[in-house]
Amino acid sequence: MTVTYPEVFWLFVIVAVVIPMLVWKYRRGRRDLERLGSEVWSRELANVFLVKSFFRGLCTVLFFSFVILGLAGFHWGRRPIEEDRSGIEIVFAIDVSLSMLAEDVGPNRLERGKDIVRSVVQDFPESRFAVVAFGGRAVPVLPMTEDGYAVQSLLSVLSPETLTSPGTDIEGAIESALDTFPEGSARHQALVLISDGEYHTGNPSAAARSASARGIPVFSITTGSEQGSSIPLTGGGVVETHDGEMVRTRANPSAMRQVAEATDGLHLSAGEGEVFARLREGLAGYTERRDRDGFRLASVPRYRLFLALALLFLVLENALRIVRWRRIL
Amino acid sequence: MWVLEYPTALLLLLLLPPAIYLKHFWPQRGGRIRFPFAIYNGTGFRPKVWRVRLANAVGVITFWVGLVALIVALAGPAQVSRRPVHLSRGIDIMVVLDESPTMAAQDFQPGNRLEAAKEVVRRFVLRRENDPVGLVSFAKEAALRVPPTTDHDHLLQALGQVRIMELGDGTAIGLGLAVGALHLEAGQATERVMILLTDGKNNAGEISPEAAAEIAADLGIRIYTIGVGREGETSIEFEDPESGAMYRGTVVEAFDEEQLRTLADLTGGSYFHAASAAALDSVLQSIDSIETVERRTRVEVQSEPMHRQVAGFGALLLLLEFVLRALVLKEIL
Repeated sequence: MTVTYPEVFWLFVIVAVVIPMLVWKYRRGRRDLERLGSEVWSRELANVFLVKSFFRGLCTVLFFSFVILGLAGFHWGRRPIEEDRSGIEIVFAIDVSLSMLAEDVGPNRLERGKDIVRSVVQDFPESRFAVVAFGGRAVPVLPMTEDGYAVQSLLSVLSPETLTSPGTDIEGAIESALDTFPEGSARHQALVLISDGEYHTGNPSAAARSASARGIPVFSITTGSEQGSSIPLTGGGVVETHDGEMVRTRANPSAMRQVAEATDGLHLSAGEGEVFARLREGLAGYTERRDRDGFRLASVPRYRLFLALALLFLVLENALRIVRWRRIL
Repeated sequence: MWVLEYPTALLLLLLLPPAIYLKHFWPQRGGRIRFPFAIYNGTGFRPKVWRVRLANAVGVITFWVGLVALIVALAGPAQVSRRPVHLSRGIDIMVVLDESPTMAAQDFQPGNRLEAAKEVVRRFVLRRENDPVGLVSFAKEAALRVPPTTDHDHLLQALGQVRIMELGDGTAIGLGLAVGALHLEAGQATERVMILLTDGKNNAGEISPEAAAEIAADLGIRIYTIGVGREGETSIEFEDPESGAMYRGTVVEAFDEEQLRTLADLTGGSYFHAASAAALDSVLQSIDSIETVERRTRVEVQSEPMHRQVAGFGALLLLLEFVLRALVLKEIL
């Protein structure tokens, strides 16, 4: 079971406000009734008022709760969606921020990432590739092409100097990569995200949602270690803050793993030796599976169940008011 | 276009008229206290508090509209769009564009030869919907600007950025063709084409145009050569991208028609001469009509669910109605 929009749960604040309002409404209603019907007011009438107010209030609270659950985008179960595609298009989104120069994986994070891209380009000769470079901003640097030479020559020039905007925007990178897939393509599509996962802006899981909605898996590769490392500069020395303290960059695999999991992709660590083989198997397995089945499995949205329950309680709430139950029972 | 995924849910709307009757008109309905506003056989009085009546009317309308919105959301509203999916492989096309200083000659309008060439290439690219198109430009050196791609927006952007003299002063036709052939070779297309646009004689680069054409012929690449420019003297004007200096002068140099014809013949392409921008446009149109490929497409339907928006709107209205009843109308039960 997955929840697509967990932020919607904040709307339960409204329910938390509605409950004291209902209590206050009951007290005021009882006072008004006593004034209006002072001669016929009795303990029995008070009890009826209490019971009716309680059940109506309960229905109101349940109504708003189920609407909120309906808006939260619950999914469970899988259903096949027909897909007639062949071949694959891969977009590489490569982090070129300064922290990628850290040398906690050899030779450094960026070069390790480039090696991974090179190996994929070699392993999938009949595929199409595109490259998005990102730091604080994402820029498509190579459009979707079969030209492996162009990918190779581009890789040799990618460096933190490619982009001037500092920072790391993983959300922007994924969004930009999704835009790079050409329209009207009849190929499978996959995204390979290479980053240390240390993001400063954007919300990666929001972008992962749009990838997931389009059925595009993200193969995320975390470069670097959680212990972290200093960032050497080409002219010697390391990156320091204004106060002369050494900047330590730590990889954040959990953000990268979340993106992979939300899109049915695969999360790998660039440090491990079998990363090349596992990525190749992951990509090949993905295309083979889709080719063989001719469909992809998409999770089934379950909002209708919650909306139906919400409607039921709305009707019940009104029925409690409209029907004079004492005449029936 | 809007569709409903589960239209049967709309049957619930049939229950609305009885529900409205029960809630507002049924004589036996509860939730009210009877109070005589008129004496027997006399004239009555009506509450004249228009604000209360307005609030009541707003409450009634928001309630029913909100309810309808929730029922519609239950029916699974979605916005669908149809778009073609290309099943066949197009032709790989590489445009090899001369950007040497003579391309600044002003015998082509608008602007100069290069600007006119960029414009007609742009129109050509837009006609080749499913064909990967790439761009190589050359002067003294040759460079791949864009590898063959169907992402034509990216290509056109790069095309717009081509400037005179960025790759030096010279005309290395051989290098341009060789770079183009190399990058066409990397693709899997069975049909490959290069379109060479030049206005000068080969005078730079380590590879002769004939040698490059032979490489292309071996790879099965057809070369269409287009000689650009009018014969005779023309004025030129351009800005050096490095120094920013303006150059003005006249040019008499013309392309080597014989050589361009040979290059085309070696590879099974054709040679064209374009003396004006309009002629260049028609040349590219005829190349467009020569190089055709069977196109197979399928229509793919994409639907974007909209139930969250509709349900959210309905719930908001019902929340408004709840607050209105509790705070403004001071409902008792």
